[in-house]
Amino acid sequence: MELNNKKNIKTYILLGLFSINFIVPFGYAIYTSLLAKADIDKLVPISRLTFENFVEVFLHSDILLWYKNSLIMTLGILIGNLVFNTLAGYALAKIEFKGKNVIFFVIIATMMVPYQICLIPTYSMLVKLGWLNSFKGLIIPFMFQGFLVFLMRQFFITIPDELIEAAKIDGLGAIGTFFRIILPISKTALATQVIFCFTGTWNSFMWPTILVNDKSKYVLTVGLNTLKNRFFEWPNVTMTGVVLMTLPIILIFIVFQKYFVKGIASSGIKG
Amino acid sequence: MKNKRAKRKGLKNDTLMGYLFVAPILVLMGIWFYYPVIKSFFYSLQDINFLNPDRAKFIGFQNYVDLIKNEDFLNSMKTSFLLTAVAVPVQTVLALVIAVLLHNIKRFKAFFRTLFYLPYITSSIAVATVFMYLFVEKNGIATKALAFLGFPDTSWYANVDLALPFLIILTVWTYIGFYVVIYLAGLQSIPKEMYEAAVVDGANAFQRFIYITVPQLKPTTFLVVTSGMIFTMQIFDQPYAIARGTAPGGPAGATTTMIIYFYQQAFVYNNAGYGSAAAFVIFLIIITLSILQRRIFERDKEGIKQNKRRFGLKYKVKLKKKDKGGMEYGIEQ
Repeated sequence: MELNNKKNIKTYILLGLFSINFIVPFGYAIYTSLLAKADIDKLVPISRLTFENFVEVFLHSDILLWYKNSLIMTLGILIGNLVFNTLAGYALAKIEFKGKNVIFFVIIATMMVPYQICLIPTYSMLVKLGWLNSFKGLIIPFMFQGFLVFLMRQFFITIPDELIEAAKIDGLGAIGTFFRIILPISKTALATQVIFCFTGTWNSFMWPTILVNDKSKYVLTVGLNTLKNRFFEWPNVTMTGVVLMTLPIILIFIVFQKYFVKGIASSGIKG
Repeated sequence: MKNKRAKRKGLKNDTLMGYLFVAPILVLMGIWFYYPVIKSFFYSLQDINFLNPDRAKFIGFQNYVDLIKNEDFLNSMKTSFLLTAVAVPVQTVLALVIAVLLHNIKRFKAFFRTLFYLPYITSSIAVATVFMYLFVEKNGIATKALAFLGFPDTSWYANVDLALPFLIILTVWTYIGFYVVIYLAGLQSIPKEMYEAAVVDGANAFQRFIYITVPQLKPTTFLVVTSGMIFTMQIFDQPYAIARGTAPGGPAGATTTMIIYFYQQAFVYNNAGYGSAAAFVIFLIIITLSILQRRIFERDKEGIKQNKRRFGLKYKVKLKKKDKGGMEYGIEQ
């Protein structure tokens, strides 16, 4: 018992040492965002901390617009993914149809090709469609993900066939079964999709940078990058931007956390 | 007869339903994935510029030839390889160690796991911004700490020699939590009985780690190394962000990764053809590395067995399948 305790203390000390490297950057960002201009790079008592940077950023930058744009882009992509990945994942797991294996391969193969290969032609397609600087261009090419189809398929496979057969006997068609029986018991898998998709899209940078040069369509990542370049000498302002950008994602993560860990375990990621 | 027809009807019905369910995603993938991939390959065989696409000229594989002769591209390859060769092993080993530590504790487990995972879900632009201040000259916390170890007091991201190490630190810090979580999932699948058997046999903690944990986690490690490599090879946001609005890839090309090079060619110089060729070469490199890794991991299976013999490990833990589908863990002397 005593030995065990000693070992435990060692483990906690090691973990503590590792975690310093993680606490310091987050702590720095939060602390600096609360500093007045005169106090930058100084250690001050809590009483001198202030929210004036937040007021400043809200008043003198387009951050509300960036929030709105990020939210529209993320929700659009999220809804598309939830619908299309889930339908396809279900069919691949539970419906028998001709050519299923080929279709499975066609969908999964998209995971192997780095997205950059599509960027140039997609860009020129969007130019032709007149979709540059538009939400259509930001959302529509990204409404599916091979990986998430795979994840949903792995989840649906675990649902016993008897359940679907019972629904059939009760007179439900494939569509009725899917919406009334399957979806209500798939909350965990859907929540996992939400986390993967939300974090990926909310933080996406490369595509919004390439596609959008109209300031009124900047999303948060792009906006924050310009804020950082403009106010680099004032870390209190840029760190306020960092905190505001990161808060929503941390909240989403904390709310959905348990689903996420379950999702990784059930998707077969563990190999 | 009747039965047969009913069965066939059922199958037909299912087939229709199946197509109905997969049709939307197939259409989307056709338009926004397969068509662009094919088109990109055709671009790569042409001398074509976004500014006047009508003057496109078919030139065969000339873009590819130019590419592998181009010193800037070769340098960007070197940078990407160096970044990957350092960042992936470091993050894999650290993630494994952290995961094993976390696996063995009860209190604060969720707290630590969340803390290590947060960087991964935080925007790469936000993380890069914070790290620039931590590594800025004079006042940066990390710069000050590292100055004690003999590193110069300078802005790491703007220093030709230190920009790449800075990028490596940034990469490892950002992605490590993801691999910790994957390793934690893998650790849960190792049967406790194996450790108990090893304890009975007198193996100490280090031996248990080397002879049970590491080999048992091999599939997980394969996943961690491969996806780590694919991620790192495609890094874009971080080198773009640390350029502070100037041409990305600086200082003096020190952080020009392959993807940054691709971006410059395609979207700064508008060379659609040459840029597409670069994208395909990057794809080929990634695929080749993945296949090589698979080979190494498979060959390594043999190696571990030999190692065990060489180090004279007395026991071998073996899974025995029981008739009823249950598992029993036996020890062979």
